[in-house]
Amino acid sequence: MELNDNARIAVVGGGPAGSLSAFFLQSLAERVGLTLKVDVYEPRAFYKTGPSGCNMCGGIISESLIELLATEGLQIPSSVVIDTIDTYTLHTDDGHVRIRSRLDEMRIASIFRGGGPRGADHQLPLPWDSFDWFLLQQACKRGARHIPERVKALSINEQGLPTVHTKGMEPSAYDFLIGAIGLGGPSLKMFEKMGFGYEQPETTKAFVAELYYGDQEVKHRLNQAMHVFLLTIPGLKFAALIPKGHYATLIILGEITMDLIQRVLASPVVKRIFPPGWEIPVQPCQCHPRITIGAGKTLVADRIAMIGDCAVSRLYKDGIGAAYRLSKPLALTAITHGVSKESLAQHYLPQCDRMDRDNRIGHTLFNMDTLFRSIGPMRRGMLETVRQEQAQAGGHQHLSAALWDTFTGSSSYQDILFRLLHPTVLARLTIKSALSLFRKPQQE
Amino acid sequence: MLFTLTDPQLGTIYKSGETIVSQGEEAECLYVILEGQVDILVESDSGEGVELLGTLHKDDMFGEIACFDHKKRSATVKANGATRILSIDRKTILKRIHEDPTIVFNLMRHMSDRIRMLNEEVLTLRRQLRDRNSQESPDQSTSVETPESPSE
Repeated sequence: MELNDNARIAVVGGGPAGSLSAFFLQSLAERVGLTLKVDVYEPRAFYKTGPSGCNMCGGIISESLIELLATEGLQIPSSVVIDTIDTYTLHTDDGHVRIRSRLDEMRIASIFRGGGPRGADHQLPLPWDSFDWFLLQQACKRGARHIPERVKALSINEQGLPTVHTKGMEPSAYDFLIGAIGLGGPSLKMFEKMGFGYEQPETTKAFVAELYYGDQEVKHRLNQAMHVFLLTIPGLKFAALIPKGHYATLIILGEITMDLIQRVLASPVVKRIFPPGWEIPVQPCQCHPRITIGAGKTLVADRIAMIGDCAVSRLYKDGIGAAYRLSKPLALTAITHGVSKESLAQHYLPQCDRMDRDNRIGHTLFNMDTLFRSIGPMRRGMLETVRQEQAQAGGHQHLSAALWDTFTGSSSYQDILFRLLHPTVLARLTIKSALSLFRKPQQE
Repeated sequence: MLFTLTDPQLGTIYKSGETIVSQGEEAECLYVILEGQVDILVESDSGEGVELLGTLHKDDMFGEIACFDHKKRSATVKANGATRILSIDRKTILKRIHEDPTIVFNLMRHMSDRIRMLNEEVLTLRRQLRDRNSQESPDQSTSVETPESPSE
């Protein structure tokens, strides 16, 4: 089942996984002199504000992804970059510490996945562009066709070809079908009903809210830093505030309930970052997106492959980076090895499995963090170790680097674990934790 | 509330004339020009001043050669006007190349463009040298032994 000239490919879903799959299919096909007809089915207008245009996430483009996209010739334009980050500030119940980028440069971008928060469209045209719309346009510039139709059903025709059914068009048969549908319920069921054994991954809920501060307060309060809150609130994995131009994006991960959200917002540690006298707006642009924490089952079949959040994604962080890391192997497999189940299983699935295995290490790391965070001396030991590392310009900053990579999504969880197990880190943590038993907690 | 794009942007901003990399220093990064342009300068062998090798523009890369051959920087690069540059850590790229060799393709395309440009310059210079030689010694044979052609 090889892709020949003029082979037709349907990508259902035009978010990062779908757009990047289409982009790389067209790019790689051009390199080998192959002509492909790639259709991306995406009914949403990502340039619209509010939920209708949004793919609901915190909107961080990691440092490593920025580098890799630049190497691929895919520069993120200024109009898509809403804000930049060069520092992470970790907040605990015993104080906070700043971790600066290892290179003295703005290397992490915050973006709006859609056109911006609900309510922002009182000013049109908006001065920024949607990241998802930018990616989709890049795929179209490479020759993909955007079909703004909702897929109503999927089937396999008499020739064994996947067939896409929409409301406004005749059913279309394709040589290859890519499911990049995210975690939207009806679309997932369509693929599950195709009968090749696909099952959606395990998910959890997050809370995301775009809080209007005004750009001066964002600069002053957040100071081009992502603020990560590792608090001892039951059920909280972590919370974060991300500078985004005139907004601060609040993300909460954990056992999301109204009670947890209110406890986080009422925490004195979090409130310190809010402008004085500032209250949470009534009904800010907010959502409770599902996020992938496991891997889906049976991700490939003859002429069918699943990718993105509906398949497997990086645990908690860098979902867009995960889409990049899988879309290229998928495109490469389809073009060089074909689209049979065997080819996809041999060349594409191992990348998915690798991500899933790395996520298991990630689960362990986050669980360890939740445990250590609840132990005062260990919490204080971590803060002191990072402070010491940050104070030593040019020295080895293993714990700082591990924490940086954890919250930027710039490294695999395996690499992060190896850094944490470095003898210097373990020794310093042990000593600092022991000393903290005899010292008062210090604020930075 | 009036929205504007706030100032912070990716990369590092260099003022006009500011040095981005210096000839002879160790190479830890390659660079992508996000905005503006840069001049590539090489110290002349005689030590008298620098030669302008060329100018690179938005979306061009530089510094990649030293990342692959582990030698020191072969040229100085300076901002020509206000410029915004993204640095890409060499180890990140080398590691990623092991995971995904196709990432090299875009780098090689930039290098190929540069080789083509250098080929044309070499041919132009040889022609000029040949013309000058024939003008200075019109009675002598004008054929000049040329080494092997630059590689494709």
